Parts: sequence; C-alpha cells; structure tokens
Amino acid sequence: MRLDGLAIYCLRIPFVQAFRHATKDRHESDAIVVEARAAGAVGYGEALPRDYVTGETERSVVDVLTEHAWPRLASVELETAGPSLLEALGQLLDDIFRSAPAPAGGFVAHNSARCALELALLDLSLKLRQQSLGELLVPRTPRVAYSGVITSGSAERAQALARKLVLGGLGQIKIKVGDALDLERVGAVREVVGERSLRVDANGAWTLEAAQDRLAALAALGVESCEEPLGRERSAQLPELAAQSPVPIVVDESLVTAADARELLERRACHGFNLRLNKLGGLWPCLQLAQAAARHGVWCQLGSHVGETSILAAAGRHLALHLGDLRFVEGSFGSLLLGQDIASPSIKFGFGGWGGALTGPGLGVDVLPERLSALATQRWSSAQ
Amino acid sequence: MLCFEAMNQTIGVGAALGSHLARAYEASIRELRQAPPYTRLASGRAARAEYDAFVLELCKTHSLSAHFVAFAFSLAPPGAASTLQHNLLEELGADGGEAHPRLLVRLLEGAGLAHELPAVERAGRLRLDDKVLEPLFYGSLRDVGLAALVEIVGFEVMLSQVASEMAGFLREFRGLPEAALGWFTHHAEVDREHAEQGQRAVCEYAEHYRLALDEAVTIVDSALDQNIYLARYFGASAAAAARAELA
Repeated sequence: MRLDGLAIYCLRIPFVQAFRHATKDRHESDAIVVEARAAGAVGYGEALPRDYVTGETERSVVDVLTEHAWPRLASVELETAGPSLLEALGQLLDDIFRSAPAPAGGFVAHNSARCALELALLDLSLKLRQQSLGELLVPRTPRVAYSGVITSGSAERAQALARKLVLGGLGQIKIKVGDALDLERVGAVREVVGERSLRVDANGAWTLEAAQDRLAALAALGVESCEEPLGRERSAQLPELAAQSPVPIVVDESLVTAADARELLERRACHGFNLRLNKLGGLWPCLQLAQAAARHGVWCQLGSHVGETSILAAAGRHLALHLGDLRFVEGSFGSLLLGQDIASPSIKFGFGGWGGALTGPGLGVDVLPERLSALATQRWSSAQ
Repeated sequence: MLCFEAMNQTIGVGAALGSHLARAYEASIRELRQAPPYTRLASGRAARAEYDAFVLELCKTHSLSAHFVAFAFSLAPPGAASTLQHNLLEELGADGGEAHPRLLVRLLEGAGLAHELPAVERAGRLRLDDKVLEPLFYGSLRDVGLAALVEIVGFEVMLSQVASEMAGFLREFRGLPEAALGWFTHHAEVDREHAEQGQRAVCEYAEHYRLALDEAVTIVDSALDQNIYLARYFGASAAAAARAELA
C-alpha cells in the first residue's frame, strides 16, 4: 500500500466543563487529527501534544509530520495485513522518528506525533481489509471498567462531581491533588463515595518531603495509589519514596521513553506504570512497556489525556481489552467532556464505567468529516 | 423502618427541586440573552449569514423534538402524563394545530433556506442516533428520563420567555414574513403555560420515582452542565465561553 495523501487537522473542541489539575487549567481540547488516505479508504489517528510531558507542541507535531515524516512515508510501500502489522509499523515509525530533529526547549520525544501517525496508518490498513483492530489485539476480557476523574477545586465542587460519578455507577475514582486543599478534597469525596476505590494524581506537584507527608495522610483515607508524586525532574528520588510510601507509587510524566522505563524498573522506582498512548508513542510502544513491566512485577494502568476524542478513546479501548489485567483504566469520556465529539456515536463509557469491544473496521470509529472541518482551526494537506 | 426513612427523604423533594430547577433555568436563559452571538442577533448588528445560521441550528435542534417528548411521555408518572401528552400532541399537530416540524419547514422556506432541509433532517437523525447508540451514563430509565425531561422542559421555559424576541429580530433584521414565524409565535404564546406545567412535571417525576433530593439535583445540574441553548443554537464554543465568563 502506498499512501495517496496525508491531512492534519488542528482542532479546538470546548469542554462541557473546565478541567483543572496541579499544572494546568483546560477549557478545550487541542487534539490534532491525522488523516491518511489510500485506495479510497481513510484512516484516522490523534495526537494531544503536551509540552510538560513530551516537550511537544502543536507546532512541533505539525512540523515533524509534514516536514519530516510525510516526505519519508510518501514513497514507502506500507504493510497492510498480517499479525505482524503492528510490529512492522512500529519499526517503520521508529526509523522515521529516530532521525527527526528535536525542537528547542525541554524536548523529550516525538511521541504524540508518532502516536497519531501509527493510529492513522493502522486504521487505514485495517479498513482496507475490512478488519477490526480487535482481530490483531484480541480481547482477553469482554469489557473494562473506566474510572471517573475529579479535578482540582473546592471540596464542595469535588463532592458534587463525586455524586454524579456515584449516580453513574463508577466504582473507581481518581482525584487530582497537588494544592493546599488536597486532604480536604479527598476527605470530602470519601464521604460521598463510601467504599469505592479512590486514588490520587499529583501531576508532579510535590517535593519528596511533601509527598511523604501527604501520602501518610492519604493512606488513612484509603487512597489506593498515587500517580506522579514528584515529577520528571525529581524522578531520581522516586526509589526512596517508593520504598517507604504507604501508598503505591505510579509513574506517569516520569515515564515517556523506553529508556525511562528501563531505569525506573532497574531502580525499583515505582509500583505501577501509567500507560498513555499519546505520551508513549502509540500502541506498539505501550505493548512493549506493558511486557517489560510484567517481567519486573510492576502493574500497569491505562491513562488518558484530557480532551481525547473518540479516536484515542477507541485505541485505548482496544489496548485495555487486549491487555486485560490493567489495574485501572481511564479515558472514553467522549461527549461527557467534549462539547462535541468528532465521531458518531461518540466512544464513551456507560453506566458503571463499562466499555466493551469495538468491532467496526479499523479502530471502530465513525469519524464525521464535516465535524472535523468545522472544529479545525488549522488544516494541512499533502495535496496542497 | 428503612422504607419509612426512604419515603421521608422524598417528601418535599418537589418543592426544593422546583426552586433549584427554576434558578438553573433562569441562569441558563440569562447566559443565552447575554451571550455575544445572541446579542448581535437581537440588536441587529449580525450579518445576514449569522441569522441564517441561527435559523438552521434552531431547526436542527427541534426537528425531531417529538421523538424526545414521546420518550419522556413514555416514562411520565400519572401526575405529569397529561402535560407531556398535550405537548406531544401539539408537536405532532394532532391537537388541531399545525405540526411543529411543518412550522420549521415554513421557517426554512421563509428564510430561503429550503435547500438546507436535507442537512437539517440529517442533523436531527444524527442526534437521535447518538442518543440511541451511545452508552447511557445512568443506570436506570428513571435517571435517563429525568435528564431528558429537564432538557425538554428547559427549552419550553426558555422559549416561553424568548421566542417573541427571536421572532422580532428575525422579522425586523432578517426580513422574515409573519407566515414563516409561526413556530416562534406558537411557543411564545402557548408554552408560557407549558413551561410552568413542565417544571411541575419534573418535580412530579422526581417525587413519583422517589428520587432523593441530592440525586435529582445532581441529574438536573449534569443535564445543564453545558448551556443547552447556546450549545444547540450557536455551538459548543459559545456555550463554553459563557460558562468561562461566569467562572
């Protein structure tokens, strides 16, 4: 298969409600959708660049895709079928992005761009054969339970959100922490949710000493795990924290590359890995990291980026069902968070947080081109 | 004992819910009337294309309203059934008046937008498909029904206050003939009563199905998380901008 063309849509999709955590307030999704075309079929992938995670920006993603990746992809004969499709795509994209120039600033990896391209090519290849991704990533469980997320803010606001999640039957809830109201907020949520599973995400807001203090108090509130307590720049202190913490430590922003994973595992710096497709470069890298984690007795959860559309939600669903033993699963908020999704129906979880298999061709998402165009603030096409 | 306590929790839910609901609707209507895309239309400062876009989005929003009212009617408790039945018959034109979808077609025709009818119908079908195909957040029809009812009544309440104004600016600044504005006239005149009955129907519903006040309030607030009027008539961005300004 040779690509006929590539298009990129930079979207702005307002949220139904603002989303707050320790490092950022978000009011809209800034997803980038990559559209790959060949032989009359169209495949879609998605990126959500986060400069504080991978060092990528909207500009860097568009630049690396248009100026570096597309010229190399345009002349390549792409594999379209077989059980090794994911691996073959993974190797091709590794080759392409290994030689990509690094933008200035705190750049870590072109993982968002890689993720968008991997998903678009995979979706396209599978659609050409009318094959579902579920035939490559065979589900090991029929459904997964997604977690609800409570953002930073007042205890009163957190309780209102918690009541909604309880009415929605969600059994697992993550609370954003990292400010002076942490304990008040978690305690307030605990009052509403009873015995439901609670965990926290500090988004790297704490020093080692602050983390030690807070985690002791949070353990008393029955918090099951803490995501990214220290941040990437303080990750050298993770082994000390993990060794004595009463709450299991999960790495997120500290885990971006395969080298990060090796170091974290060798130094016993965490109890869990937070896998996020966009952060780690797509499905193939996530599968590899999940295998590495299992070899070291480290469990995995699937995270998501705020503002993911149905494309990343669908890819995450396939991965979660395939891995089958994830401790927690996040994402698939769809139109629960987005003022408008780009797909119909929107890929989202239902009552209890449950999400089942997607069986349509490719990722199993029906993207509406008119919505893509309506929500795009910038568009690039290889045909231009 | 447990049953008795559960009953006590629902006694009086209607009154407390009614005032919460009224406040929530009024806040959303105020946001609509103060939102820049609306004030441009109301003041005559909007371009012709903005009036046309408003007409189109309004028609998309309401083209399949009867389906949603029918769903709410199917769950209506005895105390609210006659209100919703009356609404449904009006939507369908079975009360001797003109069917509402027909009034919307006359609006499109009057605005010279009849060629957009297929797009309007497609948007209506898409919205209905989404409602049917997407997983339900709530675990019972009781909760899903309340969320739907809150939205249906919300539009009746808003239109009872604003429909005349909408007809006025479309007449004055877009030059639409009176014959095209029947949908607005109808909602402004008839729905003032419907709006009040509708709010009572929501409370009846909550009491009949024994929703606790905090459950009912949570569902109401979730249904109105986004400004439904701005979101439907002007898009998600306008709705988000209004809430951001409020925050």
